[in-house]
Parts: sequence; structure tokens; C-alpha cells
Amino acid sequence: MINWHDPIFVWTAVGTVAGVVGVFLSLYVIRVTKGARKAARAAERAVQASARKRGLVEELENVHHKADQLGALLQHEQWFAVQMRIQEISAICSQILSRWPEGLSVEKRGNLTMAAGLARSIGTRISASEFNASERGKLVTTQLRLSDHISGALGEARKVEERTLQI
Amino acid sequence: MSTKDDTFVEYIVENTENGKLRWEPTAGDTFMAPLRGDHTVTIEFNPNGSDILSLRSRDGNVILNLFENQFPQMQGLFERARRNAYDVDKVIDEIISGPPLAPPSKKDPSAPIADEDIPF
Repeated sequence: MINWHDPIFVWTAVGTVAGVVGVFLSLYVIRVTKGARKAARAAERAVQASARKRGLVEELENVHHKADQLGALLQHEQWFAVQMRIQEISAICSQILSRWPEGLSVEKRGNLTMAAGLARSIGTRISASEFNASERGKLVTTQLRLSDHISGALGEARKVEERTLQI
Repeated sequence: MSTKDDTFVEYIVENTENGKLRWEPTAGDTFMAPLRGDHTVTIEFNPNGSDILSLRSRDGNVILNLFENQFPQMQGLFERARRNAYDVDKVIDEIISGPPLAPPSKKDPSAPIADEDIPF
């Protein structure tokens, strides 16, 4: 029987209500916690993706810098250093393509493959024989095109990185 | 030689003709084009024999060599690659559609230099 004057009944009712409220509160807290955890995981994933992209951008900046140096070395006819730079450019392009298979579009991956191929063609040409001024001009033109290819890939990687950071 | 090789040569020739494959001159006597990101194809002119079409991995290793004398479809591919690389058709269009050429000056080269001949 309901008897609001009976302290035992009142405390039992209060306890029951508190228990039910507690259950709902717990469910609410669990839901909020799950949401927070999900958000934290999403943020962590975004940071990891951003770090991966930043790594790609840094590597592309590095190879772009080496391609510029290659141009200067060709101008100064530093053939030994040219060969060294070519090996580095070729190796870095290959590493980027292996390490970030999803980091660049097919077109920009093609740009890096072409850059490495053009670099190797310079290496083959300068190790073959003596060459005249016209052929030297061809080496410089080839270096400029390989630098353009790397710039294309770098531009796309930077764009993707900026978009990731905005999210 | 396999039918795959034939198909590959036809693929290269067709995409060169329709301009989907972008050939580029290398530092040597070859032209190179990217293939689906990780591979390249090169065409090498051989003045003493058959031109060579090579499929290369991204490390530059040749994984397939095809010779013009074995694949008649390859005839003229080197020249087509050159036209593609230097946009020869576009250049010709620009030259033809430009203003008409001015007639050469008929001034007598042995005539004495006048004041208007000196630009400063």
C-alpha cells in the first residue's frame, strides 16, 4: 500500500527512483563516452593521415631540391656529382612510389616514374661519350622537364595535405 | 613473341595515334611515355636496324623488348612518337593559321647605309 507518511516506503521510493535515474544517467554517460572515443579515434586517424601526407610532401620537396641541384651541376659540368644526384633522384622516386602507393594519383605517379626515367637517361647520355653544345642543351632541357614532373607530383601532394589539415 | 606482345604493340600504336599516350624526348635518342603510373615505355631509333620498343619497370629495368622487324605495326612508331612529343600537328596549325608571311626586303645589300638603317 502507498503510504507517504511511512519513512520506509518514502526511502524505498526515493531509492527506486534514484536507481532508475542512475541507470539512465549511466546509459547517457556511456553514450557520450562512446561518442567522445569515436571522435578521438577519428581525430587520431586524421592526424596519422596528415603525418603520412607530410612525410610524402617532405620527400617530394627533398627530391625536387635534388632535381634543382642537378640542373646547377649540369651547368657547371660536374659529371661525377651529376651521376650521384641522378642515382639519388632515381632511388627517392622509387621509394616514394613504394612507400605511398595511395599517396598520389596515377597521373602523378606517372610523373615520378617519368622523372626517374629522364634522370637515368641523362646519366646514360653523359657516361656514353663526349657531346657538343647542342647535346648539352638537350641535357639541360631534360633536367627541366624532370623537375617539372616532380613539381606536378609535389603540387598534388601539398593540395591533399592542405585539405586533410582543414578537415 | 606472343599474342600479348602483339596486343601491347597495338595498344601503344593506337594510343600514340589518338594522343592519349604522351611521349617525351629523353636525353638520348629515345622517346619515353608513362604507362599507368608505375611503368614507362621507350622507343629507340636504331639507324642500323630495327627500332626497339621497351617496357620498363619504375626502377628503369627493361622487362620487355620488342623489335620493329618482328612487329610490322611498329613501323613508323618512332616518327609518330616524335610528332606526339613535340606537338608537331599543333605547331603546323599555328604556323598555317598565323598572319601571312611578309615578303623579304628588296633593299640592295651593296647600297650605302642611310640614317634610317641605324635604330639608335
